[in-house]
Amino acid sequence: MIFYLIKNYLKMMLRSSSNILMYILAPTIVAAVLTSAFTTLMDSYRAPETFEVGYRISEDSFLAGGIDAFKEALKENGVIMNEYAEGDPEDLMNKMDLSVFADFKENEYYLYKNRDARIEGQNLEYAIQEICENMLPGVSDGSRIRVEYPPFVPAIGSKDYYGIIEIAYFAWCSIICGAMVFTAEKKYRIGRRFVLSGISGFKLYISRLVPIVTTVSLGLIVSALAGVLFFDVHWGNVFLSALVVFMMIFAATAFELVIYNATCSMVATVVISFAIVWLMGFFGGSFETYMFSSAPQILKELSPIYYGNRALVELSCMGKSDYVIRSLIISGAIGLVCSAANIGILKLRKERP
Amino acid sequence: MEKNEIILRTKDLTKKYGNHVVVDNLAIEIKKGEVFGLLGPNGAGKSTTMNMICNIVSPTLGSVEFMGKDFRKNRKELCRHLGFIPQDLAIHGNLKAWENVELFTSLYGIRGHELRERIDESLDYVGLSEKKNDYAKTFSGGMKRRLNIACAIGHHPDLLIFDEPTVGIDPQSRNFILEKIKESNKNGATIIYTSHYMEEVEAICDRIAIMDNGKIIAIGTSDELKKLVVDDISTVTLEEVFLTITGKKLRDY
Repeated sequence: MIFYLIKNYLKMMLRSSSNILMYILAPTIVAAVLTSAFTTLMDSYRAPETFEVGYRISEDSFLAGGIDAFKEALKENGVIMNEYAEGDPEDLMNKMDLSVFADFKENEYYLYKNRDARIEGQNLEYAIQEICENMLPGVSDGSRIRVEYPPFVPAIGSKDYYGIIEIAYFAWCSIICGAMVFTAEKKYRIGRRFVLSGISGFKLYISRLVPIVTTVSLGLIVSALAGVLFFDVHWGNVFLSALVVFMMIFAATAFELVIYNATCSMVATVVISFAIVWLMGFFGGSFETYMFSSAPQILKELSPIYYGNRALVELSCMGKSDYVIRSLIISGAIGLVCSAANIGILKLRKERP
Repeated sequence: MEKNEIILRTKDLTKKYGNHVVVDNLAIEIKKGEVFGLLGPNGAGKSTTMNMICNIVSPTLGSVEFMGKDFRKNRKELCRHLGFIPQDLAIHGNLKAWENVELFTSLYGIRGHELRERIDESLDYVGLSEKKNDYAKTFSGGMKRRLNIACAIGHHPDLLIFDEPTVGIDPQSRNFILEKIKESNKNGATIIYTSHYMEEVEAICDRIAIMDNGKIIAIGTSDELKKLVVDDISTVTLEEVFLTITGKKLRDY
């Protein structure tokens, strides 16, 4: 029974031109618009290819013997170190337009970072830590110097960011996929046929959930492929990214079906769910990047989209993310709780909406 | 179940919405194999009665006994013996004719080869075999009505409930549907039929009940109803009987 229901719901959803518009064209267009609008903004989040660092070193510094090798290694990685023996570091930074200033003392060092150059500061700090851990006491052995960019810096461009994030955002708008079908069902009172047949709330829910999740997934796959082919969007770890987005679709569908089954009105469902999803997206980085957003961290963390967005962005630029597991757990929990609520509501309701 | 056995019985069937009584202690018995007509002005309680019989709406009081068993308590077992043809065109426009029949017939657990046979049989029955691969949204009003019927008969129900199945269609389609109802009845199905077209009811129904204000106010064959009004039944139509019994005042103004 359920196979034929799923099959025919799926046919109706795949035949709907509004679904093609919503899940293939819309994410691509929105991503393109946001990418072009925020290109400059996102560029400032990247560490520049080369930047200048001022430094001062005392004669008894732990780094005194290896400073030349250290400078050479950094230079190869785009960090130019200029010595300033005299003057207040903060004045020097302002006067000489330095991003970072390092003051190497006997057994410690001070790092002065410009507020606008956090990435450069982090890069330099990471490099010094590497040296302290790996070179000392053989500081003069230049071949052992390793400079790596710290893994906590998500250096992602606007093209990748919005190309990925908008896929996740539209995953949360999944109810539109079933809107036409459910509206027609309500208008022509097709639900009475379901009641008459004695179909259980569980079967009816699954027969709606599976086609929506499948159709939205297929649409977003095509949209993501278009992003990769035409805009060169990098997804990083494709398998984990796909899993994160799939679970978001599951959570969104289950959540929005709860609203539909509770209100029995598609208009109310679309208004309520889109308002909630917009707020989640607003705080979760769907429009303004979550890195630059001035919203309180607590509000970001209350948004399930934030975890998915962060996982996808970090997977794109680093290939791994601690947020993958969190995102999967949160989406899974929302999906399961809302599924139970849906089955309960459909069981209580006499005439299926 | 033998002919003349009661296939459906309502006992004290009552539906109230707040203080408004829509159906009031309704007690009807429908015999196996008969065509039973239910007439009444708008707001008389016909649709609510149908919905309670089909278990779509819960009664405030009373019960429905179907095939000798309480319908509510044996719903899963009994629902496959009941077919309901709603007045609304309860079909999906974005599905082809055969897909609509497949969707609604499969709800009764029919699948595979048997399901394909039932789809062909149902579409053939309503004269839509040639159009099985056409989308329902491209159909005329009459074709949609026929498809609406096909979607309700694929599981071979013993009792078929028709809720105004000929509204808004041409005389040919209406005639076709009435012929099919008669054919279904000849093949053993019991029929409950509601309509505002008196001549249709008179033509196909064995017994007719007239309902008003939630109650059955007259019941019997067409001739028995006419005799309630005049002695010479040849001088009166069923419509005149209906208007005499229920009054000429507008009901939905």
